[in-house]
Amino acid sequence: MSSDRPSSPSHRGQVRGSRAYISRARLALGYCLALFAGSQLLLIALTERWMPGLRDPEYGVKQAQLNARLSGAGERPLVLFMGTSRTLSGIDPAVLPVLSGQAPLVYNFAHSGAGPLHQLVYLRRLLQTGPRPTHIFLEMIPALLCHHREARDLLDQGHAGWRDWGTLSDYWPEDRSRAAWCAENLVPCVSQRFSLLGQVKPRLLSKPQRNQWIVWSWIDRGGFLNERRNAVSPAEYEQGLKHAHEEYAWLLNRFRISPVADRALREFLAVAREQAIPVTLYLMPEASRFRAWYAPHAEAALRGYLDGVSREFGTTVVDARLWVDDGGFADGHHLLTPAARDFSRRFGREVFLPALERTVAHRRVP
Amino acid sequence: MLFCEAKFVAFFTLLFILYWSLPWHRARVYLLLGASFYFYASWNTWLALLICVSTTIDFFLAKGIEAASNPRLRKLLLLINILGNLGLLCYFKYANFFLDSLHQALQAAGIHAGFHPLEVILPVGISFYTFEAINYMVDVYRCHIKAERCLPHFMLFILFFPHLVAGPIVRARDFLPQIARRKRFSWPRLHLGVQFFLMGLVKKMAIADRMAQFADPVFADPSSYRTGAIWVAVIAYALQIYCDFSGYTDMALGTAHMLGYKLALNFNMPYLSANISEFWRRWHISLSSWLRDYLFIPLGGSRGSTWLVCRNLMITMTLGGLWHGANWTFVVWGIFHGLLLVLHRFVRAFCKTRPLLDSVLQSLPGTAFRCALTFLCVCVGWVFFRATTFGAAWEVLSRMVLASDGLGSELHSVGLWYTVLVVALCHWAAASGWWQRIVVRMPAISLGCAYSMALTLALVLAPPTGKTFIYFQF
Repeated sequence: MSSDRPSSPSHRGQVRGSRAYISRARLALGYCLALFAGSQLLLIALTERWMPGLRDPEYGVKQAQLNARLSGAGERPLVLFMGTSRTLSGIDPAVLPVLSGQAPLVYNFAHSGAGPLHQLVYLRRLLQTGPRPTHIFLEMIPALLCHHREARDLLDQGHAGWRDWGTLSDYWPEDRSRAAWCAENLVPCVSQRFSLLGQVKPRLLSKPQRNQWIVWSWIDRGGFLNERRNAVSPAEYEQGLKHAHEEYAWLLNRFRISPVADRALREFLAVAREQAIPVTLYLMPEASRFRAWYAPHAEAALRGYLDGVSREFGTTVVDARLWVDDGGFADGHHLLTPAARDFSRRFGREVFLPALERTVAHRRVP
Repeated sequence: MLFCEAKFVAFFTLLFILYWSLPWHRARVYLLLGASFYFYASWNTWLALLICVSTTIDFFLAKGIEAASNPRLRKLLLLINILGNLGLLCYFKYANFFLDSLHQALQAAGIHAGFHPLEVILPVGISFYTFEAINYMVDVYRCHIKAERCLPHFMLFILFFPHLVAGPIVRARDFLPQIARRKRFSWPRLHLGVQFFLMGLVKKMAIADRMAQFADPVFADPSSYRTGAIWVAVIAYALQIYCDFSGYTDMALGTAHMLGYKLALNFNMPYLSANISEFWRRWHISLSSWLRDYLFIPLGGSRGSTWLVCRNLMITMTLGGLWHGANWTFVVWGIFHGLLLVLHRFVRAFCKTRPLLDSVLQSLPGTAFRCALTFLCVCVGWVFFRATTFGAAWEVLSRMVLASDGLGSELHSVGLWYTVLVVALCHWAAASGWWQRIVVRMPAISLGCAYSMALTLALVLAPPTGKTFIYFQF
């Protein structure tokens, strides 16, 4: 140890200063850097161009399914349901009534936890890469209208990519450094490591992350999350309700529309109007115990807000919160599979079909 | 600032470029000193100042010891230094532990006294640099080395950031001459440093932090888990602590090499040890050798009667346990290892007189059996080391032995078995010399590809929340 030269037998040969060793060391380090940088650039390109599922697995699953459906659909118009996990497990396109004439391709494009800003990002992605929808049914979840940290969630989850930068620039949270985001996203094997692991070996993920991958595998070809849950025990219901309470009650208790969510929703509707895509807004069913968490002023505030938006953008708002009895819920706001099918049928009759007929009629008018 | 954080990579890259751009040796020493101070101050500036003050005092005391001709004065100065360093260590690390233990003892005796814990922050790495300062003083006192003439050199010996917070515990006689020597940039040396750093990164991020996901929930609430999950957690913790600490050491060695310094190897495949004595020659080598040189041997070492040797072993290991942390579970861990070492001495003496038994134990199956038994004993010791209370340790141990029902592991156990397999294969490759033979023949592009893959693997397998190194708390 008296020398500052490494003397472990395994490396003694390498440290000798012969030209070959020097050149080998320099080359090995150079290749290491180049290969690492190259692999990261390749991952960025893959994620941004061909495999968006690497960054946002749920979006990837849905986009791949949608593209597969569209490839065999010819020129059929596309109708999308966009919303949260409530729509994901609550609207089954397979049981919706069929429009006479050229039946549209209906796809449930809802994503878990997706509030107005997520929807805006997804809409912009769809408009950039296609397909372009001809009608959108957009779920309004009151709790997420009050949520002001959606941009942060989107960035923290790593679901936003370089191409979303433009959409997100107006919503960037003040406490999140843009430079740090860029640095993180330059090394996708760090920022996208859970998606990468999930694609390669989901067993190496922790239980909650693994469960997400399992859930995504239950999404059927219509985009409906078919959990095949026909009933839940009272204990499971209570547990689910408790979880929902932790997640949403604090937002509903002090009901106040978030300026960020408001801006995102208005931008979504403005983009849709610009693209001549009609939008129907709807609220998904909620159980009575869930509705009890709303602040006394919330009902009037929500109604006033949605009416205002509806007037400004000429959209229809459907409040379906009371359409399902308490027995149809898994946890107070997610529907059990039979209830979801019944709800979808009623929604189809009372909302979906009339809305599409209006759209078709509107298009026929020169 | 942790070695596996992006902040450290940025800090080190900048330092590396600046360091090798400077043509003057003295400027490089000052740069390293400033960088080391900044590194430590990123945790707490006041504690960084405290180390600087205590190091300065040590520097002058050592000069005093060297200059003094009176043996009594020399001894007095040494005593002042040791007491001062141990006093700081005791105040910051053990004051609340001793006060709490005293309070509990008084309560047990029926005496009620008010106890207010002291509000002290434990300086990161205090146990390590205290031992480094003591070894320097003792070596100067014993005239094994000359007292350092240059304060910045001495401060760099203590503050050098790769070893500052979690070792390895460097010896002044090894490190001070390296500081004095002018350095020349060398590609092979940088290559070696990168190899060490990458190996440490993989150990820490891809293994240790993942293994923590098996171990942490179980040790937090062992009564909720079934026997299988408890075994998985104990084995996972054995892997975690090894890969965490040796990973840190590898990264420390790597960064030091990149700056032209060499630190001592701290681990040598400890889980391949065939007995507990060998385990301590392979595990945390810098601490074991420090305890041997500055505690065990001064106590009498292996000379004297069996009882005296056993006493010395027990004292050394008990204090070694206490060094690890201010909790009685660490003391029991030390006592447990002391007892194992004593038992090993007796078994060795017993086998020496029975050649047949000895030859069976030395055979390949016998060695495999001894390795497995040593690993099992070490794992039992880790239960005390990891558990925060004796109740939790007892719960884990009892559930390991008695079939119990409860929850399964949080992670799919396939991850653990893959890791065990990979670690075992790496040990085999290293122990058989296969790895060394293949690495020197590998073309540069294959090496670069392997490094790039190792880096990617470490980053992809890292769990969502990185954990600090276990030995930072010591």
